Amino acid sequence: MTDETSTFPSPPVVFLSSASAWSGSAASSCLDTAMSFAVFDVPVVLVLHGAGVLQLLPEQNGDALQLKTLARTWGALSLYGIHEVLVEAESLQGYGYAPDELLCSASRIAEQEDSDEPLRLRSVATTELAAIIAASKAVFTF
Amino acid sequence: MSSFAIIVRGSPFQPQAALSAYRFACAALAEGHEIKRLFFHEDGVYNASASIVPSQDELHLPRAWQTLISEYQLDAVVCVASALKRGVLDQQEAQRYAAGSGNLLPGFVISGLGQLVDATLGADRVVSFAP
Repeated sequence: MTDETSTFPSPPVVFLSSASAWSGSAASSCLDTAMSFAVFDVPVVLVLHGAGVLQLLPEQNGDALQLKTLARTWGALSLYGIHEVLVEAESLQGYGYAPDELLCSASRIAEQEDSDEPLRLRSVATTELAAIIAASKAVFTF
Repeated sequence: MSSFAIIVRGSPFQPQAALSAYRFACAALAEGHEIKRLFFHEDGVYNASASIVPSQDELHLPRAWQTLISEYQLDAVVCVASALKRGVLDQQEAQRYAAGSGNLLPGFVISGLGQLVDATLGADRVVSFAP
């Protein structure tokens, strides 16, 4: 079994985001909170599962509804030292998407902002996710 | 004995979350555990509102929190971003945004997410109650 937390100097704080971008403030709040931890150099693992995977669908834009477009916040994650996002494979399958079908709007934005290290997506099985959670300092669900 | 950071993310009216958090806090304190910090986040900030008036036959959860906080001298922090969005303001914030008078219950303080980070790192256990 791979220990994905072994690269962290201390147990990470895991953020499980299971809401779509438009279902309320949970998705946005998750990113804000994760970035707050990252500011204090706390290792952060950000995981999308359930409807949370829909946050990464391309070309989402809240301008017409005068809503904040979450992809812009995703683009800022690299600036806070969060360079990888885990996506639960089973959730992707449940919504009918393959990992490479999701164009990562955030990565494109980060690239446009000349980030040194654009955001990467990695699909993980639930069993691997369980191991990550087991080794974490705390888990926050949004 | 353990120290807990308790995160409350549900309003007093959302099923179970806030009430469960309150009951957990009471039980933990009764058993001699320490609560390092109560952190009220997102809709949980409504637990700190003095403007809430439940029906007479319902538990007044904000006042119950206030009593618990006072009795045990707990550190009860309300997330500033969540609170401003939802109109839960202390006197200072109310004046800053010309939003009338403050409605934050005494005993609660408004602060930032850094307090959540600090509580998470400093407590033995973090327990989050969300709807």
